[in-house]
Amino acid sequence: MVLLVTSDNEQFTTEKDIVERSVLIKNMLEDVGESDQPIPLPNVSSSVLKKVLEYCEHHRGEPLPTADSEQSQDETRKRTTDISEWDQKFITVDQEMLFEIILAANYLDIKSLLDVGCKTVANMIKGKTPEEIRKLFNIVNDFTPEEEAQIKKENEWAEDR
Amino acid sequence: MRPQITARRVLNALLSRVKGFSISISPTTKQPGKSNIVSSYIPSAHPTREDPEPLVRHAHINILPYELLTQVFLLALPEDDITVIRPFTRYPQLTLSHVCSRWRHLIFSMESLWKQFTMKDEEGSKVLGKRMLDRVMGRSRARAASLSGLTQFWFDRASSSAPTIILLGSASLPAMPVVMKNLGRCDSLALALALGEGSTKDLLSLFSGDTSSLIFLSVTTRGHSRTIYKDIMDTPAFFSSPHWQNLRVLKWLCESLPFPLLDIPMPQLGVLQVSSTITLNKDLKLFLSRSPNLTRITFEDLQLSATTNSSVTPFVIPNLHTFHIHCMTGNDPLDALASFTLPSLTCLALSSEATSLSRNYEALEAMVTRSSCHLEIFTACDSSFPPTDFAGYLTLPCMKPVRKLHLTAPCIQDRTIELLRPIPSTIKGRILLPNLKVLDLGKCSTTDGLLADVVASRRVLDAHAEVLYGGCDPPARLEELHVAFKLQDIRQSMHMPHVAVERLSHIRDIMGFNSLFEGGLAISFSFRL
Repeated sequence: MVLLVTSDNEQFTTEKDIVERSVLIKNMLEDVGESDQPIPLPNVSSSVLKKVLEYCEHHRGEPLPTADSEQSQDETRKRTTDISEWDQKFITVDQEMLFEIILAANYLDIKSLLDVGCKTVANMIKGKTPEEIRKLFNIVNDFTPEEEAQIKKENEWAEDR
Repeated sequence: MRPQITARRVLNALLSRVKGFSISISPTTKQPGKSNIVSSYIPSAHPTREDPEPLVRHAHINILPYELLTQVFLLALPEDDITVIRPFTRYPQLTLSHVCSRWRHLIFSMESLWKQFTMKDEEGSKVLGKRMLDRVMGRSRARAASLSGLTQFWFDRASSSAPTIILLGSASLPAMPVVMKNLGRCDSLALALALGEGSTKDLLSLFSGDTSSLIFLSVTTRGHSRTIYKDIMDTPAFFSSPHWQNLRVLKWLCESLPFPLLDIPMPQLGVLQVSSTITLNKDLKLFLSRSPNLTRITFEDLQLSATTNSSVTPFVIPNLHTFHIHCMTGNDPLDALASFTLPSLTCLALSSEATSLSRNYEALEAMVTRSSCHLEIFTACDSSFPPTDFAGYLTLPCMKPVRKLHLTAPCIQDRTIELLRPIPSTIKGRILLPNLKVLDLGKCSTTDGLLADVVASRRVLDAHAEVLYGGCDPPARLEELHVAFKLQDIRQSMHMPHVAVERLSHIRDIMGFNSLFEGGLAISFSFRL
């Protein structure tokens, strides 16, 4: 069993083969060897870690990506934004949680979870206008008047007529 | 419960109502010296454009660092690696760059998005004719300005150090001044010549610009070739430009346009592909002899002149490793080999249209002996009538080193497959292609089970090889098999789908493939008309 401590000082005890889906933790465990020392995760809150562990538990036993497969995945990643049914349900969370899961997956080095998160955001963006994207993510339009003028010109080039 | 986050939300909601009060919120970023939740909400200075971060952090998406946002953008953009500039349609990079200044900065900094582009007609390339061209080429100034503006925008984004590839057709004429201005940054140019008022000449006028960076050129045609050919010949800049000195790849993909560049020396040329008819005469030989760096040649319609087979001395192409020859007019591609000495040749592909002429197999053996080359990959596509059994090729001594064999014919029969069965030397002593590892067969019409059986005989384990072959070297183990079985003209009278019937007629082969696959052989098979 492995003891993890989150940024808000909550402790999680979990099985090694679950938590080793995180390359970061796997490497840590290999470096430290057999030990009862807790592993601090200062960049992950308890609510996010709970979700991450849920993902890892569901995908336990699946082969971890190797360097070669990662390279070939990088080549194909651009071409597909398909997400499995379970992963889709899992990632149906509010935006704050979604982006924190992505950050945690990146920090913990869980490639497949990072993919699910990025693909989900990409699917949210696809086919939308800039205004729709701003509204969806609560992004402020912060262009300067000069940039606005340039964008207007670019819109004239690109719009349907 | 997530008390910290809830507190942030409440505080955020309260503070955001204060007019002119900008807040920096970063739920996951620890700020040095600000240990509690409230202190992290104390605004610093009013944000300026030099410090754009505070404005955009209200959005949860903007907690993602640039490298993760880049991943998201790549997934959100279209699958095509090439930027397609179509006049009058939405342009996805632009859409993302119009969201906020952070996204705009990031999109503009992603070099991979700005490496190559093509300009396409709105409806794609299938629609031809003057009406279409009139429409696409821009009847209105606005449309021309649109294409021109987008092209300049693209060039502004493209890294000045990165080589660029542009694909231009008649639809791109309004952007030609912009392309001309930036031509010195392009290393690859693909031209699609089409019929239209001066369109060929306009496209070729690029060659009067700075083509010093050009190393790749492909030319394709659509439309009436005679007019286009005349336009080409009437454009002196195309022929006189110094760019031919540096060109490394030339693809003349114009089936109905004679290759017009035989008189031009191209000393750096490494790859040559000619789709139109070209005659193997002294002009072609002179052209090839001026390009000593040629490594790959594809002739899709090579015609042999009356003197091809005469006693002229074969000339050497020292670095050529891949040679594809296709003859469409009944010529034997093997005859062409008498003209060459190719010491570096490893990959040879010979194909021809239907003919009843006998093949000059000796020319292949003679060329290989003369060149001292080792064929490793050999392709023969033969539509001879009566059907060939490929024995003429497969029994040649020069085939011994071949490790990858690709045979295509309208109907490959049992005789050909039997030739591939290794027969131990103690009996008849015949192992053709002893180094064969990859076998690719097109349109097999063989007895069910034969192919699987022969393939299995080339997969003998080392332990058994000792018994079977005695002191002789066994053949290499086959590693890959690709086969297309020929669909017979079986009607639907059996109330079964066509392919299903064919599968039944090759059921033993398929069962054999199954066990070969389990034994580690990579196999793909299909059924074709």
